[in-house]
Amino acid sequence: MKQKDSILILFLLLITISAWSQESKKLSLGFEVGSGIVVGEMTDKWFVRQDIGSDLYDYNYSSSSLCKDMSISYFGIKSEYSLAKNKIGILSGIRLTRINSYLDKYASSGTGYFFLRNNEEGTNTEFFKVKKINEDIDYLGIPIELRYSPFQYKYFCFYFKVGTQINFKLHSKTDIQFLNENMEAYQNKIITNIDFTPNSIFASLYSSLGVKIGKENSVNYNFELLLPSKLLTSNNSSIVIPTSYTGFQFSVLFPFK
Amino acid sequence: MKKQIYLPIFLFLLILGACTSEDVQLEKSIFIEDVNNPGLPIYSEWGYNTFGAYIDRKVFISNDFDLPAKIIVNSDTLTLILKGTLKSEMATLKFTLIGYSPADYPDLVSFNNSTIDLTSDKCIITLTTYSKTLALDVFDGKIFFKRVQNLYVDKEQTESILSGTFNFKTFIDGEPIAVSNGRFDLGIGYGNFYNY
Repeated sequence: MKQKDSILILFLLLITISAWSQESKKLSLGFEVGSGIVVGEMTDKWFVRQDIGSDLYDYNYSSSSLCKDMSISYFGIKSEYSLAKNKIGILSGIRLTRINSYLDKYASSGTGYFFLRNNEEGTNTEFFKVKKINEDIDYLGIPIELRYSPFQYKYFCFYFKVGTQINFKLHSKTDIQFLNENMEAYQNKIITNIDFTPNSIFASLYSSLGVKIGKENSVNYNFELLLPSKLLTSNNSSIVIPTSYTGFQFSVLFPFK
Repeated sequence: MKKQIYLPIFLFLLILGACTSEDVQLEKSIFIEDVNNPGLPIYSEWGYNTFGAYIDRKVFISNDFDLPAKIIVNSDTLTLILKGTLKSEMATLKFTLIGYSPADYPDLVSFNNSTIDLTSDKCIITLTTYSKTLALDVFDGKIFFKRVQNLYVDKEQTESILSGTFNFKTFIDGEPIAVSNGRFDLGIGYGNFYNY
C-alpha cells in the first residue's frame, strides 16, 4: 500500500473519531450497483498464437486484433451511519461481485478467431480455433467505506470517499467458445492444462468522487465516479494481470428511524 | 435453368472463399521484432512464417507479400527456398540439401533437432537478388533445425512447423561475407511443399 493511501485512510479515521461524539448520528439503508473496467496486461497462462495488427494479404484489407478485457460488476445492500451533520459517513454492507475476463479477436471481415495451443507432445503440436475465452468469478464480501462531504448545497452534497473491500469466492467458471463446435468435448482438458486456480479472496482499495441528491431525512440518490483504484490480491483472472480499475457506482439510501 | 447453373457456382465460390480465408490465418507472417537483434524477427516456434538474418550489416528478412518459404523435393534433393527482401530489394536464399527426400510435409519431422554442415559437398547455397544469382562457396557454417513439429488444428493435421537457426561465411565478389543471426519459423503445408 502506498504511503499516500495510508495517510489518507488515517486522516479520515481521525475525522471520524473526532466527529463520533458530535450530534446528529443517522442510519440509512439501501442498495448499490456498480461497475468498473480493469486495465492490465495479458497473462501467459493461455498459449495464444499472436496476431498483431492489420493484414493486407491477398490485397483484401481487413483488420483484426486480439482483445482482452476484465471488468468488475457488483450489487449489494448498503448501510450508512452519518455523523457531524452528515459531513462524515461510515458505510458498509454485503456485496456480491462478479469479475469477468475475456479474450477474443475482433475482425472487421467475418468471424474472428484465434489459435489456442493446447498440447505439445514430442513432434506433435495441437491448436484449436477459438472465438472467445470467457471467465467469470463470483465473490461475496464486505465493503468498508468512509465518506467525507466538505460542503453541501440545497439538495446536493458532494463528497469524497475511500474504501476497501474483502470478498470470498463463491463460484468460478471458464468457458471456451470454439469455432468448430465439435471441439467443445476438449474444453475441460484444455482448462485443466492451463493449471489456474482463482484466488479464493478478492480485495481492493478504492476512492471515488460523488454527489448525493436528496433532502435531509429523505431518500438519497448517490452517483459516484470511481477514481483509479487497485486490486490488493492477485490471481483473480487467468487472462489479465490488473494494474488499476475505474468505473462508477449508483446507490439509493433510505433513512432508517 | 439459369438458377440451376448459378446456384452450384455460387455455393462453390462461397466454399472456396471460406477455405481461402481459413488458410490465410495460418499463412500470415507475424513479425515480432527481436529487441536484441534490431530488424530481425524473434526466434519462435509458432509457425509465424518469418525468417531473418544479417548479411554483414544488411537485413535479409521475410515480408508480408511474398510466400516466405517453399520446400521442393526432387529425386533425392531437398531445396529450402527463403524469399524476402534485402536492402529493400527482393532476394532469395536457397539451401539445396542432397540426400534428403521426404515424401510429404509431415515427413519433415525427420529434421527435428538436427544440424547440417553447410560446408559439406552435399549442400549448395545460392543467393538471388534483383540483378544476379550467386552460388555461394561456404567455408564455415551450419543450419540447425531446432524444432520441427507436426501441427494439428482442430484435430486435423494442417502443416509442419520448421524452426531453427543458420549462420555461415562465404565469399561474394571475392570478399568474405558473414550471414549471421539467421533464424526461421516457417509453416510448411500443402501450399508450399512440392515433390515431383
